[in-house]
Amino acid sequence: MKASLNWLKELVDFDLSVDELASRLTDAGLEVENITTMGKDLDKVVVGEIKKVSPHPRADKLSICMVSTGAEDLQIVCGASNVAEKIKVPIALIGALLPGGMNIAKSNLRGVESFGMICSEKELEIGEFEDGIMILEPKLRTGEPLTSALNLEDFILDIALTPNRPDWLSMIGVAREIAALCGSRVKNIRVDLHEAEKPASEMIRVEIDDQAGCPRYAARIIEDIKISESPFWLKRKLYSAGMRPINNVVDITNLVMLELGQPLHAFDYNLFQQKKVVVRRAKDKEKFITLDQVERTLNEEVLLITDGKKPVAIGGIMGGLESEVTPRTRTVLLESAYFDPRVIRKGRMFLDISTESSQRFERGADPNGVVKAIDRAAQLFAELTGGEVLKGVVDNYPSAICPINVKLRPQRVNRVLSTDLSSEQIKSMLVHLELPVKENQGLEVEIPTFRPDLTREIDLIEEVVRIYGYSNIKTTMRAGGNLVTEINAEDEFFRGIKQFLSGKGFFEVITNNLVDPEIQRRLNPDISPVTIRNPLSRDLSVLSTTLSGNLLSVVSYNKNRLEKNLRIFELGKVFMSPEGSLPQERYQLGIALSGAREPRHWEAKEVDADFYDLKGILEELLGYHSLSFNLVPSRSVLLEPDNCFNLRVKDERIGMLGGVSKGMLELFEIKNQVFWAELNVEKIMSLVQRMRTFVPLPKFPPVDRDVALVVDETLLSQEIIDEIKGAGRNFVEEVVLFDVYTGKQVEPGKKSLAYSIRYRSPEKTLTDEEVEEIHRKVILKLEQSFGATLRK
Amino acid sequence: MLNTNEFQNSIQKTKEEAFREIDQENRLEGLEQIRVKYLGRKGIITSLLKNLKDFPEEDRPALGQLSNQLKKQVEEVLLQRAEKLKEIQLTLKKGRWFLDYTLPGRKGWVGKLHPVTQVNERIIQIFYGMGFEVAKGPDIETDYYNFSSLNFPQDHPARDMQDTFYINDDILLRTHTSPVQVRVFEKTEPPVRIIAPGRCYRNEAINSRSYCTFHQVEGFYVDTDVTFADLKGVLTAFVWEMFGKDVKLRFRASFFPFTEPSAEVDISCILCSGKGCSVCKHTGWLEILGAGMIDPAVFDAVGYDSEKFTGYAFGMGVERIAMLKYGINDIRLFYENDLRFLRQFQL
Ligand SMILES: [Zn+2]
Repeated sequence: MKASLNWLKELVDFDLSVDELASRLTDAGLEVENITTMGKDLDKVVVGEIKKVSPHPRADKLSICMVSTGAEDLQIVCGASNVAEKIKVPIALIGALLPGGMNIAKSNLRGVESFGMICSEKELEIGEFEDGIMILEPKLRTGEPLTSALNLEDFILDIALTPNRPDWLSMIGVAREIAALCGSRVKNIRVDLHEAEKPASEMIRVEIDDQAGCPRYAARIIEDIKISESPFWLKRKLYSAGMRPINNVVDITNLVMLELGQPLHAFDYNLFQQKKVVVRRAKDKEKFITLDQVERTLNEEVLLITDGKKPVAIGGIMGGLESEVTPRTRTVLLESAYFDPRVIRKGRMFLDISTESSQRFERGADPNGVVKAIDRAAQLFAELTGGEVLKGVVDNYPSAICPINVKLRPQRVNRVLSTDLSSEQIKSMLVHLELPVKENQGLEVEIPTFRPDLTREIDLIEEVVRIYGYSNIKTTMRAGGNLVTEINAEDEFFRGIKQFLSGKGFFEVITNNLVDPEIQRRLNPDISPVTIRNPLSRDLSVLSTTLSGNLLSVVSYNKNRLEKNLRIFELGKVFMSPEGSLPQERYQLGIALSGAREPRHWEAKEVDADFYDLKGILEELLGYHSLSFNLVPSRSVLLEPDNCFNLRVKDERIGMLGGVSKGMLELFEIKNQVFWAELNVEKIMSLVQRMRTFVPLPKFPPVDRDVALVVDETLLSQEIIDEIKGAGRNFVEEVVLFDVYTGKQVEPGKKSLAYSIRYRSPEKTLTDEEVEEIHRKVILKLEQSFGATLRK
Repeated sequence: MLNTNEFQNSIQKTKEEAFREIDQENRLEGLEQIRVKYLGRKGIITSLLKNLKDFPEEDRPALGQLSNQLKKQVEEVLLQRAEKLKEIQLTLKKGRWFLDYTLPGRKGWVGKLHPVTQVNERIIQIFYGMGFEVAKGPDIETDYYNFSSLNFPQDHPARDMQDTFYINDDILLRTHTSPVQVRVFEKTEPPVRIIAPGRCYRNEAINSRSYCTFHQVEGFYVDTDVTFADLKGVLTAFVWEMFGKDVKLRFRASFFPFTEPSAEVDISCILCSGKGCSVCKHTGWLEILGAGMIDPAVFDAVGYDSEKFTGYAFGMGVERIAMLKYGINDIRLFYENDLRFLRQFQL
């Protein structure tokens, strides 16, 4: 909301600079985001009076004016059609520099000398009217600088308001706050109205069909109005609030809304087919054209104002095109009503519009401010449109909404705020907020209906601290509470993983898990993603079901920036939407590896990392937690068919590992090979035994034996190891593969594998003979099972 | 003519100079030149010895001893250095490696944690030190936990404060980690003192100042005697630990449905020390978090006795804190994951 400093000063006395005011308001919850100045100083522009106008001898459209500036009379040539004798106008004297950059100098217009310029609003940049010169009010003193005569220098406070305070959506509400902060009082807005003899009730009746939606509807009739441009002071106020002046009728309703916070609406009375207003709910699919020329389809959430035959406005939200005030309007029906905030909100959400009016009603206007506002507007109609205000307000208010009383215990204030305020101090703060206080076993506060936000004791405590000042509250530094502070086990486990991987040279990335459904479908065709009903855009409309897409995007992004070596991981959530149940989410770990195995070094040749590099990382990561895994060949669109494996720990699938498929690399425009692993870290955590008991150290020494075998190339090393362990029974403690060879020295289709086997007995020291016997059995078994031959 | 004292000093000085020269010499020929300079017939030490006769008789033996010692030491060091140089020459001749200690060492890759993680961890650490435990909740929440239980009524303009992604009428992506409050209250009796870190989502246009997902840390404490002064205390302590003890705090009134009284908390601009700069829009203050006393309506929703218990809650954006701490001007950088960005951060 934009609040003019000059306007505020009309409503309340205070002695603060604009910066001080802004800071006080900000502290009290009216956050002043910005202060702009309005109306730069117009040096050498004064109020002048046109004494005489005569035609230019050689130009039809120009006039020669004799203008008095108080000190002297000047001859000025003017091209505007609205020049006239005996009007006051702004004169830019010779030497003036206008805001638009125009420099005023003595000039000669088709043979006639001109000593200055008569200006339009637009030329002075104080308004938007440019058709003709600006005509000033006759009461202004000739010769006075225009800046001071029109009170042009102003500051506009741009205030960010919180949705709990409808009253701050008015100048009077902000003024009330200033009064409370400065210990001053708001000045009453003058309403003195001269009504005609003819009663308004003869012209209009108000019927409310939906009392819940519209608890109060008041109307006045003003006859014989003349639509015209508003006077400068009125336009100026609208400008200061960021609104555009339209004509005197519309401007008056807007002014009163800005001033008092009560939205008003003016109808052309003669466009009513019956002499009545009927407030009702719209019918489902009822159509109505609003004054922004949009045909809207309504539903039963929407309140309609009708003349009993046809709708004329959407109540509290927007008027209708067909009942709008036009230059031909002579009789105005003026509406001032109170609509239920929820009904207005539902209606405007359904219609997907927000107006100055709906903003105020949905936050909560003052049901008891309705008449004051309509009277204030009627007074201005009389003054500015020449209209006659018919007698009386036609006010339908079947059940009055009354102020409520709220109790406030001073000791509760002090307990919540840790203050030491007396009952008197608290009372005084509330009274300055125009909240009447009675003493009744503590305090009892009567809440005016313009403060719908105050319903409970705690609401009043907030009022006290706002006025008392947050900065005046103590700052207590003490522990308090429970001494037991448990470490979150999951956090701790994840922290360990992240630290391990960053130690291994992987950068952690964090990505947006709102992703493109198309890419998601290609990465994970079998799982349906959780879909956002109201996404920002289509490519951010589902939650990711795998971390792979985002990490491959990060790989691609960085490769495009000449980063050849990518080692990245993300530990984040993925989301699934199993049919017929609630969306599910869990933490996963994704790791991507691409580029060189080691940083470039003067000694070593650069070698690309491969499958075994990433497998090794996983072996270390899980091995740290004493978990070992098996790989089981698998299939996935993400990974190459012959380089795609499920990870299994103790027969549970915990993730996958492999080389990213060509198709996926193409999709993400990556030219190099990428290795990928994605693990279910929640499952891994559940498999880790957190408290392991100590295993006693072996009492007897081990014996190591090596064996080199030639076997078929397709035989898996793991099968050999399993066989060694089986054959060597309890004596085999550890089997380590230390050499793999294929080449000239073995026949084609074969490979040589060398293992070091550690034998140990828990019961005694094994003798050489005993070891020899076991080892022989092992070799025999390998020969039998795999047709292995010993390699010398 | 030197006196006795000066003579002793000059011996000491000569010794230091000779040792330094020898140590820096890398050629055998150079060593020979140094030998001549000090020990030759007209050498410095030789001359010193010649001058002995000019001193009083009783001083001569002591001074003589000093000079001879010097001569011996220099001869010895010369010899050692010559041997070392010969050894190096031999090594080079044999073609063995000369240790160029300026070559880079063998190293592996170095990775780092994401700055959001680093700052998040730091926040958790600070509050853990004050006795807060970590609790977590789901990203996909119900309307009840995200809004209704937190005193955001249906059809109330307060709902407009947080643009929400909906999955259906009742299920949504949480807009803050405040739902964890309610989830904890449902399971625990006071006193409770918790921080709830986690990811949140807002349906806001993406630009340099806002992103559709971000991380928040919510903190809250409920007990029988928690006051607004305690809230000021805990947040002051946090700010001091995060940004340094010379940073000032400003609490100003605000509105959040689930706290009352509510406050926005600003810190004095850490970039210009409060003098005013473009980052703080020339106000000297930076908005850092929202806070307040937990609204009794929240206690009512979870069955806490709102007469007996009071509590405070606060919430801060992790990206926001990181941006302030490091002067980062575009929130999107956190989600772009450019390695040139990620390499820069180490708390
Ligand atoms: Zn600054």
